[in-house]
Amino acid sequence: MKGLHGLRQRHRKEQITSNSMRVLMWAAVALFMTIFLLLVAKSSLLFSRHSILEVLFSSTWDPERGAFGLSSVILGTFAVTVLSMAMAIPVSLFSAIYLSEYAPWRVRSIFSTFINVLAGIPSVVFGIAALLVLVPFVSESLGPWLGVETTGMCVFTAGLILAIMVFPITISLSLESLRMLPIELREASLSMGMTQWETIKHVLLKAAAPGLISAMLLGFGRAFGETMAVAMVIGGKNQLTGLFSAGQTMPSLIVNSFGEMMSIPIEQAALIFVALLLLIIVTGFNILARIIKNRLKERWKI
Amino acid sequence: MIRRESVKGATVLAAVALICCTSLCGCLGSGDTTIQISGAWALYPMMVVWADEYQRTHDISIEVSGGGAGKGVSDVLNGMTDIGMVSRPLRSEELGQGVFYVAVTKDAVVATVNKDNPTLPAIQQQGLSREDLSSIFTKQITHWGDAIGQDLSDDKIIVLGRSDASGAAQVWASYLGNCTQSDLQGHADANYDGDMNLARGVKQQKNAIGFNNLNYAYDIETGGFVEEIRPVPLDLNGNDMLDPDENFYTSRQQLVENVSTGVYPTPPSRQEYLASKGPFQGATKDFVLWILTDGQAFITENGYVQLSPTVLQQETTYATTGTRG
Amino acid sequence: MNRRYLTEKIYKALMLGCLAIVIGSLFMVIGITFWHGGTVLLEKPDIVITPPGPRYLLGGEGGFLHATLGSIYMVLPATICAAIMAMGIALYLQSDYSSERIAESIRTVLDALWGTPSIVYGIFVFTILVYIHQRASLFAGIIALTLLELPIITRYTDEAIQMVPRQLKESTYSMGSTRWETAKVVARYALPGATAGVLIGLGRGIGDAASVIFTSGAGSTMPSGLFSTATALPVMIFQQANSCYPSVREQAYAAACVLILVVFTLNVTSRLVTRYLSRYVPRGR
Repeated sequence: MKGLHGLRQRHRKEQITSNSMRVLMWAAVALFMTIFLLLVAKSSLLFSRHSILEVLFSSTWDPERGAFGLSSVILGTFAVTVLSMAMAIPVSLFSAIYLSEYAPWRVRSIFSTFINVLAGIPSVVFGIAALLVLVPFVSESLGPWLGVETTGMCVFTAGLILAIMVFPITISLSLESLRMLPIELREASLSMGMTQWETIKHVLLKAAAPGLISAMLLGFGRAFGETMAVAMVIGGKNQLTGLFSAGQTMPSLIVNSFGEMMSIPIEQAALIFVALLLLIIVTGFNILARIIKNRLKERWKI
Repeated sequence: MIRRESVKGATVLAAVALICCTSLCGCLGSGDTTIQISGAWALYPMMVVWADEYQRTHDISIEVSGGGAGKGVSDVLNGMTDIGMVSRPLRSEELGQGVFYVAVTKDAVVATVNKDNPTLPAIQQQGLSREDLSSIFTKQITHWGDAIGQDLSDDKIIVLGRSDASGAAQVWASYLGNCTQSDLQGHADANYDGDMNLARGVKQQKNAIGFNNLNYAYDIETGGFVEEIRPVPLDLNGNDMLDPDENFYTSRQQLVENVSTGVYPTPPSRQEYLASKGPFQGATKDFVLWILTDGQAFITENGYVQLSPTVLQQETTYATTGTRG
Repeated sequence: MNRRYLTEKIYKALMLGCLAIVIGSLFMVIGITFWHGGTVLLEKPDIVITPPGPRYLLGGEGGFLHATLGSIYMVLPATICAAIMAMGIALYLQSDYSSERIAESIRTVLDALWGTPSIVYGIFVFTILVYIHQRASLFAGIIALTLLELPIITRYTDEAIQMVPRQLKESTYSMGSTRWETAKVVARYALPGATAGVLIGLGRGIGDAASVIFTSGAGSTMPSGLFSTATALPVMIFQQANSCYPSVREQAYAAACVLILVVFTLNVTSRLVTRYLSRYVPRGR
């Protein structure tokens, strides 16, 4: 420890570091604002010639003809995301419940490792796996079994691979929420003669509901914004005609069209608007998830 | 305690410095002049070959990147690059912003079908006319039987297209007439990201029809047919028969010749352009002129089509004078 | 009575089934990548370090060193910058620096940033690039990746710092330390968690294509300087995975295999490093 004569020096260091950290922190806020404002500014050109209702609710996307209707693309994104969550929610919920309530801690630890690995896999690798395994599966096995003709590059396949990609988030966050619950809850319920499953169903799930819902919302947000894997298997069609037909999501539209639509300012503005819309929707879900999660923390005072 | 921390801090700083240095090393290596090129993926492989050959004999550095024809144009207009590669005709809005261009090579888009297509022998004999193809791609004809006049009601045509905004799709749409890329996308059963993806899609389904750059419709080495896809001959005069002068699809060399001379129509063959903001100047101009002269020798071996001599002459004049007057 | 136990058994079987689905998907993804890519890597492991030849995209010779180097050159500086900034932000979020309310709102913003799709970061940096008339370059890719990784690393560091027991801070303050000196102690305590966060951020950065594809050029030439174009492994995989030329396709699979191996290594390293650094922390983790 430096003595009293080093006091001024220490004080100066304190000031410098404190100020720089404060700047950094506000810079992070500024970053988000900047992203938002820049996207708004750059997409405003689109609205000088088209009304926002037209852009959001028309289903014709034909830049060469000056039509910028996004409704099919927006619906496509929701369709793919809802489908993937419909598949992911039950699977991840049951998995989390098992890991939390039934599995010995060693099994839980091993599965956590697996899930961390799954979380780290890049999305292009998921895309390749989807192309090599899921597309043929859907077109040659699932399609005929269900009586639909499909090329495999469709909304369903995209939903399928998204569900797999979303597992790590939903499972690990649900697991966390369940583990957070005090053990007294389980003990009280079991002491009244309920089976373990009944305990889970009637007590724990309700108690952990905010955390579970928050986990699912975060998964929804992740799936909504996923770009690469979806772009590789969705079939790039700007019209939503069916579960087993090709479709388009907002991120895949951006990544597919960006190269071509650069040179004409209004087309560029249109694509930037799509990015802005994506940001708004995903951020909305994330903030909602956070608010709900905080309610869980408040309820159990953790 | 303090020592350990400063050692750690020093290691981190050293690592950062090392990485930055190695990254910057290349910066110092390159000469004063660098030609920056970006644009269409369709022309990208050829440009990489050209840049490589040119750099061997000239003391200059050339950097090529992709991004799409639209990006190519926008980059030159913004002054970010010297040359933009464009694989489609330039649009009036772009020309209005001062874009100057020359054609340097051609390629062609052909319709492709699977080799197990039930009507393939008939198609190879009769060809398909523009009207036939237009009806197929806009789903007015839905079965292979109707396309060729035979009774094959079980075989539904599977139309494939491009999901990414591309020059090939645009030129195919303009050939079919009254149609844009988005129309094609909308009618297709599935759209693939990239020319080669589309070719693979056709390979995988026997009733599929798509459109590809002629490079991918033939084997790159031999010029013969490649595995499971076959190009669709065009019945140019619409008489439901493939006349001898319309029959040039058995090998790539044949087709390439006919594209070069213009027998194969434009569209769906197209010229590939190099664009810049205003006329080419200085080292960039030298490079472009080299492409139009010595560079032409590398075209066919890489799967592209040479411009016919008259057109080439014309384009060279344009490049030299700086106007397309 | 029996019915309740039967229900219990059914649900338990259902749960195991779900778990099997999850594990099965993981093995499916990893398996197919290893099968297609691993075989290529075993045959010609040197493609990782061979630069691409001029006719590379047309099935010519060469490897994907340009993507490997591009990935390294982009991800390492980005992660280091993001880690330093993240530590700063996370330290400042503590109660001795900022009030509870401000810290909460900043954490909300960080959450929003964490959830922002990577393509939005790519478009953001790209739009700025166009605005200041700069080309796509390695540097722009680094910036995009830094922005992408920052919220991730900050969140993990923040959580690690929140775990620091108050007594530690109280005792250093009671000896007359400034906040900065206390922060240094806190940082050391939070190091295991923070390092885990850094490695996760690194993994995310190295696997991300959407933010890099617009900002760094996505070419097939070797990166030659900070302001030249470059590409990264995931971008190259995206572009080459369905090439007509089998050799080009195979390289994409091999690169995918490399990426998975990198992720594995990062995972293992994260655990080892966490355990090693935990010796600074009494009672370990």
